[in-house]
Amino acid sequence: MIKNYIKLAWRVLSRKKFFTFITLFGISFTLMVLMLITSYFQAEFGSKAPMKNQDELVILEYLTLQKVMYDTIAVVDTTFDSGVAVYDTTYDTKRTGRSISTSSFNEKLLQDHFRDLESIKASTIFNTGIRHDVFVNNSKLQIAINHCDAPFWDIFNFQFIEGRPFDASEVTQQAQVAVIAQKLAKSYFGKDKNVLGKFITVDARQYKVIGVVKDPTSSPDPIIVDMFLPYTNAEESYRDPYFGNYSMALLSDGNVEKTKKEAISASHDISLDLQDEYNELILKPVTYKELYAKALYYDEDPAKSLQFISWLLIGLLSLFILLPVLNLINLNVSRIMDRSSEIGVRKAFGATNSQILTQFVFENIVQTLIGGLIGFLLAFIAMYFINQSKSLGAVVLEMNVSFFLYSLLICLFFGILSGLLPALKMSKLQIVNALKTNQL
Amino acid sequence: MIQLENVSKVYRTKTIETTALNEINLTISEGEFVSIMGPSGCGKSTLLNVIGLLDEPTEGKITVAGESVQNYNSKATSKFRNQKLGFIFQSFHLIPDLSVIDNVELPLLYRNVSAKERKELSAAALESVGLKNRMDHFPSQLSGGQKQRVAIARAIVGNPAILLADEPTGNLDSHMGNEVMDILLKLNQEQNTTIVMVTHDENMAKRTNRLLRLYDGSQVA
Ligand SMILES: Nc1ncnc2c1ncn2[C@@H]1O[C@H](COP(=O)(O)OP(=O)(O)OP(=O)(O)O)[C@@H](O)[C@H]1O
Ligand SMILES: [Mg+2]
Repeated sequence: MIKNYIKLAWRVLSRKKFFTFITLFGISFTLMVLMLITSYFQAEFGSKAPMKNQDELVILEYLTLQKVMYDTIAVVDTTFDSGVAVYDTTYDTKRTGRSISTSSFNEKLLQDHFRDLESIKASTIFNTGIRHDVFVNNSKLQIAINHCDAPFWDIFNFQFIEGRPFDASEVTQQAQVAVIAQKLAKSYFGKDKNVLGKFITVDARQYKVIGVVKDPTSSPDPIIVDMFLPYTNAEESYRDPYFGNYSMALLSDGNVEKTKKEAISASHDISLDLQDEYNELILKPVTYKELYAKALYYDEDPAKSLQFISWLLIGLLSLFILLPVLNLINLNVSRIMDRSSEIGVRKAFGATNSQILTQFVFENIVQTLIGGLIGFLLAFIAMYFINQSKSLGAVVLEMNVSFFLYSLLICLFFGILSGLLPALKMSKLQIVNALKTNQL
Repeated sequence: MIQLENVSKVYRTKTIETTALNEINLTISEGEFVSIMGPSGCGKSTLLNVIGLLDEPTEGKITVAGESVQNYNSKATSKFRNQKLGFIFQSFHLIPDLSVIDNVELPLLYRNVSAKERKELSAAALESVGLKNRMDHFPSQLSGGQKQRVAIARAIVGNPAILLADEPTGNLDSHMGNEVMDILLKLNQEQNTTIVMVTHDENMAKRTNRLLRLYDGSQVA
C-alpha cells in the first residue's frame, strides 16, 4: 500500500507541474538560505581547529581608562549664635565630565597582572595589530603578523602541515623563527614544497620557517594571519604603562564567568600612577561569542550585546522559515480544498478516512523530501561558489548535515500538518457535500 | 436487498427548508433492475445517495443487503461501500489527476488486490465499455460520452452486488445510450447485480424490471 501512496503522490505532483514547482521552489530556496546562514555560523563558532577551545576562552581585548572630572562647590551657611556669625561650610562634588581612552594593552601589564589567575589553565598574549610588507621576486606582499608567546599554540590548536610551533625558550631568546600559514607558504615560496628551514625577510630581519599551519576556516583576528613570530621580536610602538599592542586570551578551566570576575578583580590591583590624568580603570573581559556580538552591536555590557544579537538572529531565522512555511500551508490548504470532490469520489468507492489522510500526508512527504533534496543540492552548489570566490574571507562554508535534517524536519512537520488538517476537515464532510463543493 | 422505511430527507438552509424525500417506503429485491423517473429536483439523486450511504436520511430506516448499515461506524461503512456498492454519478466525477485506467481501478485500490490483478480487471472493465484504447488518456482528453463510459467501467470493475446509477445515459446519444443500457442489462442478468438507475428516458426505463416515479420527494408510482 505504501508503494501505492508514493506512486499516487508522484503522479499528482507531476500532473500539477506549476503548483509543484512553486512549492518545491519555496521549500528548497528556504532550506538553501538557512543552510548557508547556519553553515556560516558553524564555520565561525563550530568547535574546529584551531578554535576548539573557543567556549573556554576569555579575551582581554581592550583596556579603558577614564578620567572623571569633578567640580567642588563650597556652600557657606551663615547662622547667628547669640549675635555672633557662625560660618558652616559644606562641600558638594559634582561629576562634570569625563574623558575616556581605550586601547589594547601594554605587554608588561598583561604579564604582571593576569598570568596567574586561579581559574585558568593557560594564557597567551598576542599582538596582531600591524601589517608588514615582504618582498617576493620584486613584488610587494602585505602580510598580517601575529607576534605571540609559546602558550598561544596550546590555546589555539592549529593543525601543523609540517614542522612545529616555537617554544618558550625560543620566545625568551628572541629567536628569529616563524610559523607561517599555508596561504603564505604558497604565495611566498610558490610551488616549492620544502619550505622548512627557508627564510622570509620581514622588516629587514630574516626569519627561519619552522612550521606551516593549515589555514583556519573561520575569521577571528589572531588566527587568520599569515605569519606567527615570537612576540619578543616585536617592537612596542609606543611606551605607555597601560596601553600597547597586546591582547590576551585566557583559557578558563571551565567556568568562564569566574575567570572574567578574577580578571576584573586582578585589574583592580593595577595602580593608577597618573592620578591626575586617569582615576578609573575599566576592564571588560569577553568570551569569544561576546567579542563577535560586540562588533555587530555595541552595548556597555558585552553579555547584553550577545543576547541582543542572538535574539535578533533567532528572530530573523524564524521569520525566514516562517514565511515559506505559511506559504506552504496556504498552498496546501487551497489545493486540498480544490480536491474535495476527489475525496468524495474516493470515499464513495470505499476509501476510509485514514486512507484519505495517509494519501495527502504522503503527497506532502514526497513533496517536502524532493524539495529538501533540491535545497541540499542548491546549498551545496552555492557553498562551492562562495568558497571558490573567497567572498567571506577566510571563512570556509561546510554542509551542516544535522542542521539540514532539522530544517527538513520542520518543513516536513508543517507540510504534514498543512496537509493533514484540511484533509481531516474534508474527510469529515458527508460524501455528497464533498462531491458538490467542487465539481470534477 | 434494499429496504427503505419511512425515509425522509430535509435540507435546511437559513432561509428555506426543502423536503427532498418525503416518507419513502421501498423494497428492492436482489437481482432487480429498478428505474427511477421524475421531474428535475424531485429528489432522485437524493434517494440514490441515501441508498448508497453517501448521505444520511433525516428520518427513517435503511437496510441494505440485509444489514442495518445506518449503525455502522465510518470504517465499516467504507468497507461496505467498497465491497457491495458501485456508483455512476450524474456528473461522472472522474479524478482529473489520474489516467483513465487509474480512475477505473480506484475501487480495487481499497481492497487487497495486487497491482497486476488491478490492471487486468480494469483493462477488462474498460474493454466492456469499448474504451480499452484510451487507457492512458486523462479525463480532460475525453468526450462527455467517453467519460460516462469510464465512470461505468469504474462502477463495475469491483463487481458490486448493487449498482447505483444516476442518469448513466444522460450524456450519450441514443445509440451509445443503448449500448450502455446493454452493458447494464448484461450485468444484471449474468452477475445478478441489483441495479437502481435514475433516468429521464422512458425507453430506457421500459427495459428495466420496475419503474418508480417520484414527485416532490414523494413516491407516486
Ligand atoms: N445540499 C443541499 N442543500 C439544500 N437543498 C438541496 C441540497 N441538495 C439537494 N437539494 C434540494 O433537494 C431537492 C432534490 O434534489 P436532487 O438532486 O435529488 O434532485 P434530482 O431529482 O436528482 O434532480 P435532477 O433530475 O435535476 O438531477 C432539490 O430541490 C434540491 O434543490
Ligand atoms: Mg439528480
